[in-house]
Amino acid sequence: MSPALLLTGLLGGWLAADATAIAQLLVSQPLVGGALTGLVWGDLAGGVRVGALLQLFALAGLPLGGRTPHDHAAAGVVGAAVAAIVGQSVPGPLLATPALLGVAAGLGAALAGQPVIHWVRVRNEGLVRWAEAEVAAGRPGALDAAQWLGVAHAAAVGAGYTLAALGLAATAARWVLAYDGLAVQRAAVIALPALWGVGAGVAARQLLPAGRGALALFLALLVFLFALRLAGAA
Amino acid sequence: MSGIGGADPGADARRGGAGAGGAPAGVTTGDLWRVVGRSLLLQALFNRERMQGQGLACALRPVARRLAGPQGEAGWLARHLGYFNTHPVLAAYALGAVARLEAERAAGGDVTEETVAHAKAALGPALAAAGDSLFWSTCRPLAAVIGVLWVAQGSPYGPLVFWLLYNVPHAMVRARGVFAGYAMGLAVVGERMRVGLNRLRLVLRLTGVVVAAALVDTLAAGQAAGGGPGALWVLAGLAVGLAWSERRRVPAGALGLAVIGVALAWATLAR
Repeated sequence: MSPALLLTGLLGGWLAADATAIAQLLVSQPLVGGALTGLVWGDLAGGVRVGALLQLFALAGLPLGGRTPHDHAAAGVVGAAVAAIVGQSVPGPLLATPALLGVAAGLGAALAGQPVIHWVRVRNEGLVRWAEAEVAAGRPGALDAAQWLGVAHAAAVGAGYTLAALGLAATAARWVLAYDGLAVQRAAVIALPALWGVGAGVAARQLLPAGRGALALFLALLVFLFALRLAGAA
Repeated sequence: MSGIGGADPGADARRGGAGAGGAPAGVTTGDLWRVVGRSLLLQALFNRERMQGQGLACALRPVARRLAGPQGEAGWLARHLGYFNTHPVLAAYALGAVARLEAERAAGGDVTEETVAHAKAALGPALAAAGDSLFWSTCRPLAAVIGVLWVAQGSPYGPLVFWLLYNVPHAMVRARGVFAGYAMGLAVVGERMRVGLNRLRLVLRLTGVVVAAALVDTLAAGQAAGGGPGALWVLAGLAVGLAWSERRRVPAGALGLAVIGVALAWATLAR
């Protein structure tokens, strides 16, 4: 296993644990995860760009109550790593291709990771029951052991899932490029700006207070900013 | 139930928790700091049955050891292993308030096991509503959009900006919450907190409107500078994103993949 792949696995584990099990410092968010993965693969700028776009989509879901979220931790790592891997095999002028394939891989990894997170939570129920039995038997130290086992379990599953998703996504990306790399590049020229727009719309609606008034304020502000730019250009 | 007497019992706790000023004796500042540290593992075993129940008990273990001693610790903890769920950051207030009630109970106050159980049942949803609304729906997207705005302007420091903007208040609330909860007991969740949080959220969200508009403007300007119709695609995407947010029938990720799929289909067929 290459050092970059090993570090990617470790990163996947750390970020998966951060998402729920320990601290929630939001290093698991794609913006941070993408940057860290970009560093690992020697393409910080590419990782930051892919992570930033995936971050906007990640804002659509809120980790509320018992709802199982999509796996945004894996999304940032897989997306940035696929972009870096594709970037190493694509000639310079086709800069948009790695980013598009990275974003596609990240979005897919986030969606496919939801059942994995659900499975981890189901497994946690078994650990909780074990710890309860131990406490009832007068061994309170089992609580700490169960907690750390939970963190280790989340990290191990996250690392495994990240590497598996990366393997699949990188293979699929190489196949698509070999099949019709030119079409991917043509698609990227349209899809990337559109994806930035969709992501910005999703993020904006998340931030706006409820009601049409806030939306109208946002659109009015946007028109004002465009007008300022046009006036500056003129 | 309201907070328990004394001018600032939290100050007693911060000084050493000797019980002056109305705070019951027993729990020390060191114990509360250990609770703060352990609260980072509140969701280590997050699950659908008990949610954060085990995490709450584990975080309160230093308090259990202090109040019940080695012999009574297991029984004390067993009472806290049931269902509990709240926002993981604002949970700090619940941990402090429960520690306070348990300290009063250990000191012979009129607090019963049922009182503590009811307090947990009341604190969980109240803090969850406040925390979800403030941290998940406001702070996280605002910090993220500011970070993405930095990236869109060509800076590689966007991720760091996002991380700091979120984590500075996050760390402060985590640490301060336990002490404030211990100082005020159940009164920590009151009208003052609700009004304060609502005002803060409104200010942050209005800031968010400006930042979101600046992000779209920067993205469109960046595409326009490169020539071609990229700015129009940004605006078309924005319209799709805003329209999707009204109904949310499919996950946002699936919407993104659909956009990529349509573009690929067009690029393959339109030759």
